[in-house]
Amino acid sequence: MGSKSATERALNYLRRAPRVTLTDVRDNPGARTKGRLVRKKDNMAGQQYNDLRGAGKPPLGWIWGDFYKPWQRIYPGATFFNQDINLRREYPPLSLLELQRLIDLGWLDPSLPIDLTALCNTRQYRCDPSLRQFGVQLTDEGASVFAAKVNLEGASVFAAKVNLEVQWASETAIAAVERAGGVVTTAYYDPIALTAAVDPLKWFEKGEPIPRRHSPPADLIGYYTDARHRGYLASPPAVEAARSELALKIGYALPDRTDDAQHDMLAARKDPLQVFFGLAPGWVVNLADQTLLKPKNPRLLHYYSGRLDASKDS
Amino acid sequence: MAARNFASMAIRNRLYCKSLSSQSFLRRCLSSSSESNAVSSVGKLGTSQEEPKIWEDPWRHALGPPPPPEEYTTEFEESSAEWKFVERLFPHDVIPEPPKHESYPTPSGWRPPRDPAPNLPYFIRRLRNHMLPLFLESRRDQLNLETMDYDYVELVKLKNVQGDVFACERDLRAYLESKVGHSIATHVNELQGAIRVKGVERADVERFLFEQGF
Repeated sequence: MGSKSATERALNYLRRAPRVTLTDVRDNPGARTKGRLVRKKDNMAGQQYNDLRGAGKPPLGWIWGDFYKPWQRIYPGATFFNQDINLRREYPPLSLLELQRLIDLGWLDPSLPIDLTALCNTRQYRCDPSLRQFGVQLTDEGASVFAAKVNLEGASVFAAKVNLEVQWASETAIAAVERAGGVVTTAYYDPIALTAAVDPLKWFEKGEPIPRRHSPPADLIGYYTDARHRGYLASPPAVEAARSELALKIGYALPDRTDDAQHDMLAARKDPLQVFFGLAPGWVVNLADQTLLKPKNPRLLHYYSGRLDASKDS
Repeated sequence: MAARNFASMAIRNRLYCKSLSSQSFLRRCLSSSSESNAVSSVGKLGTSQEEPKIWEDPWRHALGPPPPPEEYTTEFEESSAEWKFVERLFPHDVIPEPPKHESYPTPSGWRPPRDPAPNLPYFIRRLRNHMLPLFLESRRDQLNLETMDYDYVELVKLKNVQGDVFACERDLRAYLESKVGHSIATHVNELQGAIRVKGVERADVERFLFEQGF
């Protein structure tokens, strides 16, 4: 058997697939986006006279000409003016202060790792994959008071040792968490895995197997392999070195990690393919009987293990 | 109209007959093949009856019979050992009670309401999530004639003020002006028990209310 063309491999795949029906064929999430429409009320915004005539502003992108088409739709080849507006990613922010308030009021348990799923389960934080939102962005509001170790009432603001898994984190936010003795990791979730992570109960009720996470796209690989961002694809020794470097840069002493009680919790990390702690991709959750169904088919096991063995496709 | 309907019906009927005829053609092919097979099998023992003739399926003749479908196992293993990890993924159904802290304020500055309530002419009721009723508003201000754009003003709105709202506003303004250092603007909505404040952070108003004991 020599090397096969892509068409032959595709045909072989189709021949071996258990069944393909119209219900199996669907777009990946985010493949099609509906552009925001300019509506009639945006024209002049109801101000047709006096000084207010120029005050009715059309939405962003409208330069001149057809009122109902912004620039990026009239000239789709023009890269310099918001051509990628439908491809941009959003990371709804979460400040350290908000995080601490959630812990104080019992929404989050700091004795367990805190990831996107835990945050969304509080219902106080919202991440919507259908709006091109890709996860949690940790901001440092609440860390500047921590630098002084006291706030106005005399209590240290960010005192919890937490194991945080976010999708984007600023340097000062990482520093504040590590200074308190916690751990930050930045990890990428592709849209399907993100839909499962944001609302696990809804995903399980569909009867779908737990998805496997795919690798970040080309423009994000650099971010998640960098130890300075505590990327989940960076090597652990590089992350350790970056920890010490950041402590020197900002000017604080790294706390010693001899507290064995929390060591296991702080050392817990997800596999790059894993969406939920303790559960492997490919498993189906049986909510009625409270069990997990694990597949035995070698083809499925190969897919969910993430090995890049191409010969399995031919 | 009637003529057109009649004509379209005629076309449809003709097409239907055509399809029927094509179906009958196929049926005749298949039946003839089976007949011919039957005939041939009678004549020569040992030839396979399933093998179609070259003119019935030339592709099969060229490429050979298709490979048998792969055995696809749908077996699975059931276990409940990892169920505790699934339980961790369930969302909160009800608002949790705030845990008992050793000292207040907590690291984020939160305090529980004082019991009994403070002896003041006003009272501020907490929300069901144990937080103070402080909200952020962005209201449209005046039109800026230079930029021909509206200016927006950011306000902090305090709701659920019961009793003497004006007394609350007086105390609030005195506290904030001493803390912040500059004058601030307030607006009182007596009927709804709301106070809008301009020129301060929400955290400052929250601190005042926690100190008062609400």
